[in-house]
Amino acid sequence: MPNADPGSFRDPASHVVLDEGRVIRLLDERGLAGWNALSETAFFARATADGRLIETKEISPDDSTSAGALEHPRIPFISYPYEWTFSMLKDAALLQLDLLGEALAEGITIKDATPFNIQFVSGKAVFIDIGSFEKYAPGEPWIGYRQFTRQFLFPLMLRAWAGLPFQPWLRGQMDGPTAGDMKKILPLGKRMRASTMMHVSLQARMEERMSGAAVRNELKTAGFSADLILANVRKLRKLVTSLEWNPSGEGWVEYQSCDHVGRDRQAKGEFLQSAIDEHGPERMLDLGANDAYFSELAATKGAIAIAVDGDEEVLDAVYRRGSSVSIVVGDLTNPSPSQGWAGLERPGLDQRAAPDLVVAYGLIHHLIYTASIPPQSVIDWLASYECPVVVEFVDPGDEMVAKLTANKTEEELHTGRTRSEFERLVAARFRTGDTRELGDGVRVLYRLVPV
Amino acid sequence: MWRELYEYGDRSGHPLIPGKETNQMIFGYLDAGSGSLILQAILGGAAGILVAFKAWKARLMGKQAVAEGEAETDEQTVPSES
Repeated sequence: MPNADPGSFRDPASHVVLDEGRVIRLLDERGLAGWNALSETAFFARATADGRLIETKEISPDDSTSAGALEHPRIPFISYPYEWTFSMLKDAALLQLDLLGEALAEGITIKDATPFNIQFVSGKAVFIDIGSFEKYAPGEPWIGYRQFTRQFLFPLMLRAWAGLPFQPWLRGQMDGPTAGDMKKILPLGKRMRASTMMHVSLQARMEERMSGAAVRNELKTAGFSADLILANVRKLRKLVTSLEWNPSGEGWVEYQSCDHVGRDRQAKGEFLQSAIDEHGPERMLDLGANDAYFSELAATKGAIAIAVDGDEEVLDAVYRRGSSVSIVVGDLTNPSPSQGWAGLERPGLDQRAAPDLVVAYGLIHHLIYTASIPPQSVIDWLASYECPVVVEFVDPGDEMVAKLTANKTEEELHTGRTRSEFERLVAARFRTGDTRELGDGVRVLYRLVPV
Repeated sequence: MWRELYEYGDRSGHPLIPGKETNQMIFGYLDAGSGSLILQAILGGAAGILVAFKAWKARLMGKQAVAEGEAETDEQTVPSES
């Protein structure tokens, strides 16, 4: 029995259902007409062949209410713009503009412009919403322009020009900041730029003045044409390309140069390798992934590796070096929730990750000492994945713990932090497969299997 | 329910599809924003500015025609003194 994808309902012409692992896009008459027009273009063949468009196969619809149906390969891991790095959103923006420009050259338009239509597969941006394409009607404006600015351009400007992370905004308001919001946020120097004055200040003003006015017929009669959209797209491409983020380098980007990291990396890799050989995971969730070294280890063994870390700068470098792992920028003490329409439209991180192996190296002492999560709660959380867990325990005597607790008294810390207490807590939820002590024994690796 | 919302508007009564009531064009499911639609013509360069100006003028004239029509109707419905 097919299940409707809870995130695919806004466009009446096309929606996705999931049928026993198959991804089926059902089309109404209008959707089918759009598909027929798209599938005949050289653009479609070219963009599919080079991997910018998801592979698509026309099939017979199983239900009598649909005019047509398409089948797509399943995306290994769905991520959302509020989990992407700056370079990921920038590449997605450029992909959106390039596809629109190339499609328009052959009389096809894209009816929306949202990064939720783009996914990252093996480190490459792929446009997945084939239902967004339809035949361009002469005189029609670019319907997705405002959405493009709110969901691509403005979030990139936030990071590049105001130094603010866009992820919290997009997570809190998935439609993205308005032109009016940006007018208030951007520094004066940036607001005076010609491009900002047009896309931000003028758009904010015109939106305010013309709210609710029907203007599409007037534009058509006045001679609007696809050439005007193409000119706008070309200029937007130039603007997006010019947006750069120069991170401060104050985060975890230098973490690999720490003494204990270099010393222990090989041992941790070997330990994880034996867990991968033992359990043969299809999906590994790397919690606190840093530079995704261990995620890439799993990926080379054929697993879908999902690297989660709170440090956007480190993960941006992972993306830019062309890593094939799935990247998630996120705070593990506040992971992406299930949200959107009916609280189901964009499922939470854990629901999408669905791992069969979890690795948490160099993480739980940060949860316990920095985020003040009780050790018992940390173990319960790891057990909630209901799969084997490879975890690094860090003794209270460790040099990093000393730094994390420099301004905390004993009474301000939770109990259950010693190795013996950790093992007692673990024993209630897991059996211990392997253990390995690192260095002088203040760090210990455990392979835990749920009981 | 969603189809109703798309076609007949949100809770505030505004149609989510601009121009739906005229039924003369192909409509998107997305609220494109009226000001943004005019703006993108301007962003198309010199030719676009002319298009935007014409569209703006046509809109003004349309509003004026509606206003004049309403004024005429008002005059006709004013009860004459006898």
